[in-house]
Amino acid sequence: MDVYTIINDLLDYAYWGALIFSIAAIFAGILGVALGNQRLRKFLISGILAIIIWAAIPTLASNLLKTQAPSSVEFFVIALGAFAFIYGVYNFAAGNYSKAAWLAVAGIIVVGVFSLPFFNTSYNTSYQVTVTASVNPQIGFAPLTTTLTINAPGVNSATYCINWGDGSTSTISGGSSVTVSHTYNNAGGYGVIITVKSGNSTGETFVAVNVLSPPNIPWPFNAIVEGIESGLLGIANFLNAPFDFFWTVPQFPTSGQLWNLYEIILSVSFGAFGLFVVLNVFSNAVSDEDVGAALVKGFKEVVLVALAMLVVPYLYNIIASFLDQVVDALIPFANPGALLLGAVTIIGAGFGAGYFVPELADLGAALSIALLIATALSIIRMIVIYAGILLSPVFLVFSLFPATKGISRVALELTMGFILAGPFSAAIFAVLSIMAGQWGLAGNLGLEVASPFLLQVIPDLLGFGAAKGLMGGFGITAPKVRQNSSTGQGSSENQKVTTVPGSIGRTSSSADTQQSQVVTVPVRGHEVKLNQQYGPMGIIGRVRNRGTGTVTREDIAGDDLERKPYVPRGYKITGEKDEVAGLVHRREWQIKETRLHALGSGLKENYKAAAKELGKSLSVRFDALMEKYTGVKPIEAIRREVGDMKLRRANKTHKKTR
Amino acid sequence: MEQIIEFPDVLELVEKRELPREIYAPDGTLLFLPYEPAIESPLIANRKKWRLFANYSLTDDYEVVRINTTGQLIRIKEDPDIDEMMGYVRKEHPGATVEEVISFALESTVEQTGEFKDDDEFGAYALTLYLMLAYLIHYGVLILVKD
Repeated sequence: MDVYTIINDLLDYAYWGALIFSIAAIFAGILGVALGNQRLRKFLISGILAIIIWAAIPTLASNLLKTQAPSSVEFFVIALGAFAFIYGVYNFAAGNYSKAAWLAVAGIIVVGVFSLPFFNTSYNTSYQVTVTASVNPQIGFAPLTTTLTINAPGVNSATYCINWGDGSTSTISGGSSVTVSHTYNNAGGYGVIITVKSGNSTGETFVAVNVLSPPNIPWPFNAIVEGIESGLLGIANFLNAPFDFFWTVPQFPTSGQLWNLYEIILSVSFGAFGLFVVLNVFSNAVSDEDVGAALVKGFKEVVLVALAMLVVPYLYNIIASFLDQVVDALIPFANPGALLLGAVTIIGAGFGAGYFVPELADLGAALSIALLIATALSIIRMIVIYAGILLSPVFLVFSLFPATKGISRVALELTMGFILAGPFSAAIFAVLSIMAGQWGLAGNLGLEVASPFLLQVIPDLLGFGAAKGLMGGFGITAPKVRQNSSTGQGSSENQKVTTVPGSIGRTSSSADTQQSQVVTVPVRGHEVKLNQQYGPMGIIGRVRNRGTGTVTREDIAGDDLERKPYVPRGYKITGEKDEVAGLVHRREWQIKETRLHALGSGLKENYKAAAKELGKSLSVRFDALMEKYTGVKPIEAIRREVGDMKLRRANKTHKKTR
Repeated sequence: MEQIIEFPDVLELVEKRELPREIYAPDGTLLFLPYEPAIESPLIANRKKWRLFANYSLTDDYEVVRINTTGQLIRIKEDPDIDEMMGYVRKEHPGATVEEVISFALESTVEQTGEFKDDDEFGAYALTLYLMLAYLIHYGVLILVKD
């Protein structure tokens, strides 16, 4: 067994292990959502993201292995790895071993793994063949004869093995490009796997074909219908292209008008940046803080921002090409044209026959709006991404000023969210297409109407979530509170903090327990006794056990007793009883709380208890924090978060509560 | 015309780097040390023991309060957190511990603006509240009672 076999085996184990971990993370996330556990809930997004990356790894790996990176990328990779290494050494020297270890691992991954395919040119020429393939038509009614065109640039002679996905295979020999036809007799979705062998080099690719069930229409109408169908199928194939906007992560041009505009913005931003540096140095020099420490801290931010300003478009393009690889790996499973075709047909039918069949018009209108929203959102997505990259120098300068730091963070989150929405949209669409194929017309209709949400809104939200998570993870939005290294990670980290919803509608042991209270209310001429339950309890129980009470009034002659008695708010009279003792007439009214009052009062009590619980949980959290971050100084902690705090305080409703 | 003392905007003091090194109660008790580790501030260390009582009365101008013991007028600009803490001690729970008052303000913040994004933001917010509370005690708006 040679070393390559061992490495391959290990990679295989890692690959499948990653899938198991990703699925476990998704389950943990779902469990977290069900139980309201904040920590577990975070696993859901990580799991989904991991699955997408996992699915894209084979394509990504093969693409990386056959890519010879431009020298700028090589330089960037080396610089990134070197930076990680130097910063790791610095952290090691500073006694921050955990951070140093992470940086070392990051450096190894960046230089060792990512750069390997870039520099290993022999790997490229010896073992990998670039293969692309397309089928025409991609969709149609059975029996469908489709033509497959395979291109393998740079190959003189090769053997092409085609697995058509319906059980049949073909093997042909040819040059760098071959064309072959195949007929599918049965409806279904087929994956065509093409393997190319040229000498000791191989390559593989995949395309999808969607064969629809033919409608059962008698002669001579079938001829008309088939004519219309073929026209519509042509439109569907044509309509595949616009869907790219939903998931493509566009490359930012590094020449042309947009680039010129970027350069103007960059130079203006550098001007503002220079001003900041001068002011910052001046401010630090006159401040009463430790000048050396302040300068180092300011310098760190300045260097980071200056570097970021120079590399943003290039860094973005690298990320974009990576995400596009992920999208390309997912999209072969999808068939957007077929789905859109259904929508176009229904909208057309709604226009044509809506007068006679109003439901058709309604459906057509709903679909038109849905598609318009989806398209509008996809256009907005593109605009935001371009604008985000274009204005990145401005936002980076903004990040230096506490007052505008929030704007910078929001802009970064928004742009990153829309960028990450692409692969999410592609993944959802892949699943959606498979489902639409299986569910037939009804499934198609439902999915089409929901398309803006499924293809844009949900991916955008997932993208924003992932962006927020990533930024938090990388410390962009969460500047770390300095930790006392002598204390280490305290045991308080595992301390459980009670969540609030748990106490609502239930009897909580830690909250005020429910209690029945007898209250005597003095009202002129009356004696009112109320027996009502207080404290948190189940709402149904509270309504069942409504408060009761009595209202008593005495009168010498008894005439006054006919007057309507005082009844507390939320109570109603359920009975009355008279007593006469000598000259004194006494009447007692039984009263009972109304259901509405009991409901309102119960909810209020539970709300109060929940608020109290939340307050307690926050105290526990603060205690844990004090144990964990023993070295944190208030002035530093507040100054770091001042922007976010101002934003949060501005969102608080101001009630005159003094 | 009576002189009115201005209550400071705590975040502004932080930003302008004008926060003093120590904040004391009127009786000379050390309350807060902004530049030292948080746990060394007596107000934080004794948060579960020290209790608070209101020492102010409202005037016709909502922003101006009168200190009961000295009669001094203080202008405290409308601020949700400060108002909540003052109101809690005066109306809801006279004699509440420092921790209870801070928890009440934190709870209201979470309720109105959502969960804190991480421990750093939570810690910073809580420490700001402690700082505000220290100033309220320093100006005599609230009275500190040590058990």
